[in-house]
Amino acid sequence: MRDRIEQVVNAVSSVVLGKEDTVRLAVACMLARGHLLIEDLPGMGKTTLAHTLAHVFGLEYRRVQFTSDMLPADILGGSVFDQQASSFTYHPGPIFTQLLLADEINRSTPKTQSALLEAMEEGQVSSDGVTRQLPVPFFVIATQNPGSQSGTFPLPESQLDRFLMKLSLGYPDADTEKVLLKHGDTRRDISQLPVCIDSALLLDAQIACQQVRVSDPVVDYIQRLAQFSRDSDDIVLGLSPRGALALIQASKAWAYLSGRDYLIPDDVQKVFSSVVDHRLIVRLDHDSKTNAVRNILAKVDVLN
Amino acid sequence: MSVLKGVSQKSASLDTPVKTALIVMLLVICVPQLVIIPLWLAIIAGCILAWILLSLIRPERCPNMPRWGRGVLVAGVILGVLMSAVAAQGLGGLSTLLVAAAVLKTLELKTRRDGWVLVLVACFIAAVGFLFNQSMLAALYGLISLVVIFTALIMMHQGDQNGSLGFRIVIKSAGSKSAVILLQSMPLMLILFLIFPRISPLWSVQLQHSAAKTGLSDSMSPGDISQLARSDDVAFRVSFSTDRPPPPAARYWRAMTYSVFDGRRWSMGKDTLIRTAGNTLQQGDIEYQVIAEPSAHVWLFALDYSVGAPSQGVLSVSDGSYRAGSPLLERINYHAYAEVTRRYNGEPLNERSRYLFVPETGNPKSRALVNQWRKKGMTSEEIIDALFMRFNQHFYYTLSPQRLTDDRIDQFLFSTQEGFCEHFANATAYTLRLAGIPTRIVAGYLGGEWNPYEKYLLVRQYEAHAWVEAWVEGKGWIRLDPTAAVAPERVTQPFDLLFADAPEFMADSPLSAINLQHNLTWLSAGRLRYEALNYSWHRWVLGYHQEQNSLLEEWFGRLNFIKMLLLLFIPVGCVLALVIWWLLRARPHSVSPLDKAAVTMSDTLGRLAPALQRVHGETISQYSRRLKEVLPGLREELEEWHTLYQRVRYAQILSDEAVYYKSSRQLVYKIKRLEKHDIDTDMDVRRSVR
Repeated sequence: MRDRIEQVVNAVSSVVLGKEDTVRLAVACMLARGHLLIEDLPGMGKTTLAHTLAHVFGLEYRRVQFTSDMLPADILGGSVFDQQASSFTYHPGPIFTQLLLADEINRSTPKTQSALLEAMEEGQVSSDGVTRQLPVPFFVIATQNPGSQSGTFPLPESQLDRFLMKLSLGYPDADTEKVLLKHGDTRRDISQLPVCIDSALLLDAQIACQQVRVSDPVVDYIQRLAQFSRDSDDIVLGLSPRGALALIQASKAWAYLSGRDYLIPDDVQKVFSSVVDHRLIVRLDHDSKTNAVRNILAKVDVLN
Repeated sequence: MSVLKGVSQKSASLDTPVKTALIVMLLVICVPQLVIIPLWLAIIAGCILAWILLSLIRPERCPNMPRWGRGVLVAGVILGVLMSAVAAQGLGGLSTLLVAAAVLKTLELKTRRDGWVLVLVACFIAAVGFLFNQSMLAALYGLISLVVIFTALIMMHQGDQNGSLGFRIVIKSAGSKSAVILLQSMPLMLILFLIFPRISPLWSVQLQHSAAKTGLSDSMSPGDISQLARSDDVAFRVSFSTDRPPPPAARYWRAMTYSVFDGRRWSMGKDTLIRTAGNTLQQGDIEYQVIAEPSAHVWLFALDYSVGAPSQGVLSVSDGSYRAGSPLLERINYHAYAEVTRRYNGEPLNERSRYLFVPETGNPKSRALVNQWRKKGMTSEEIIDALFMRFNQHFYYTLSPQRLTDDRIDQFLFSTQEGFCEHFANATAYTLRLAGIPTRIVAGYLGGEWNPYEKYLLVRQYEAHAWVEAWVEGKGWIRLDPTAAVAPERVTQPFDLLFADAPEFMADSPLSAINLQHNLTWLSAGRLRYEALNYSWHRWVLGYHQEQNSLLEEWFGRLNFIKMLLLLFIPVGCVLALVIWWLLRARPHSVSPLDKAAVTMSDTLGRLAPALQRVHGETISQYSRRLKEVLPGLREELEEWHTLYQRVRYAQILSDEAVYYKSSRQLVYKIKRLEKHDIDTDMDVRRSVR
């Protein structure tokens, strides 16, 4: 099963060039049943990554382009009057899918953003007093532009918290970019990629991730990381217990990806930044957010 | 943050159980002070404390005291304390002030800070109690007081627990905790008791003026000593080197001699304060050790007849008595020697006229009698015999003689013919002086109760006695005890048996065990045992400082003040510095035994090259990877060790533990053997690339 997952990583990496670590993290996020937020400037390959993941995992997916005039019903669906039956019938929205690509999620208004909230957390949609279950597995892969871009509504903390990881791709390095330029747009290759895994296999892999063993010293380490983030002067809002749980979840998936059935501190360190970054509020006068997060890793001793 | 905490702690209000505990603590602490503080204060304190207790238990029944009421109360108590402090002698005023302050403080017992003040004052009151009473019971009570104080203090800091649990449970747990704390501090207390030097107070405290109210004084007139029979206070205790007391008839304890007579009173001759070496010791002399109670006087007690030199600090006087250098404000311990029969060394009598002086006139009948004897040509011995014969035939020995007026000696010799030892001594000394025989009166004690359990003689105030010494040519001073002539049983029997029925005997303590014991033999035995215990207490605990002095002297030579300070403060300072270091040192986390190898490796390599130390955020796999690059020779060992580490530590495969430890040992051993040149030199380059 693990080599199938490895195939996934390879397949995605063949499209999203030179970003193997990010791809692995994204895969880990899905193995950990987490929703993924990809933040980057336009044109960095966010959507490509999301597309590729959806395709390779063999999931039924839909893509919603978020805009500022969008309403919750545009995503969740709504009741429409059926003249023949003389009654309202429910028309499911695009959210009823295994994987929802929420493109440029921060372009929509907070109202629409929060419509996703219940769906992401509970795996269900309530509309007109009826609760409808979403399919399993259900993922949201959202992309967003950095908050400095014009025409954006930054996601509130509570909503950011729903995403297990926030990744950013960044500019490719020189060699990769040259390959990219020579090859042209890779996006059309996506449909040619093999589907490496089906949803049943994915569920198995998710269960296997859950069963990764977490020893006391690692729990202790994670707790100390969380505690340090709360006590640190550079950080206004530290890691919540839910954030710490997310950290364990993501680390487990990383350990599974690394072919281990137990967690080591290295796993925690690998996923730390992507899990924790968007959950902390760093003091503004601090030069850079990543510095504060990296500081936590550097200052907290792995051994107690 | 901590400052804020401190403020909130100080102003944290006290809840009812804590207040109750504090009030109970104060009650317990003040009980021994009842005998010292004035009655009015005791009553007011009792009322205030009872009222506060009631208001704690039944708050709805007790309205708050109005502000002016408090003001009046405080002003009144302050006035009363001032007045009683002026009137009080010695330290009674201090105790009064403390108790009054503590009791008034309870009126504003609100915050934790008030509680702390109260606890501190309570500690002080408990300590002050020892100025007045140092008996074993007082020490025991002091311990109990400490337990109670600590209980209140612990309850103050238990916080919310008090509310949720029952008062009884809380006080029980706090009480046992405080008892445990006290028990834990016992070893330290014992060490301090053994080695802490007893520094004499920097200022002189007028201790216990009341000590002077009983006991002998520097002059005597008839009636003074019978007054002492009212008291059963302990005068002194004696132990003998042979553990056997001298026979009752030889238990004459000399305190002082009166040689000056003014017609009414006998007083001490000033010039007898001469230091002499005394006779040399001989076989058969008695060696004894005295523990004298504080009396506020200088005289000590010498068993007749003193010989040789007493221990240091005791002055021996030419009349055979001993004297201390300064008034006895605390218990003193000394040893001395006595010979059973006086050895006359042929010294002539100095200042004969002083021992013969009587006023020119007065007591005509006595003069006539003496003239009659002299006309008969009787010798000194015959005159003494004749006088004693008179006593023996016609006189009564009683504690309550009739009052004498005018020519007292005539009246005593010829009309009342009854009296206590001082009346007889007075008449004998006077009459013999009239007859031309030099005399002096000796004041002291006769008798003592032998305690078979601890083997010591206990002499009480009621055993005070006066007798006469007369100078006989060729024999020196000889003891004449007229009391022995009139009532020989005074000499041979215990005093308390003799006078058990006299109403004056121990009139000051009518219910004391001594009065009751004649009917109850078990009580008598119990009392002796208690006194034996008390004696050991006095001798080994309270009297320890003298032994300690000699012990310290043996170790460190003679102690002066500076030396003592150095001895005291250097070790204590060192210990304190150690404790502070221990508390403040950068505490390395208690490393798990599994992690020890990594820590040791990091430390060892850090000594070779600081860059090789593991940094905080570095995991073991990262570290071992880094080491593998730098230490190519150990690559395989590191790989093996690292794999085992992960298996044992994170995968928790415990069966590999032994192998892991073995691998760790080998690796650490090898790393410790490493030299600088074993380390890959371009390590730094690689590190920077990384």
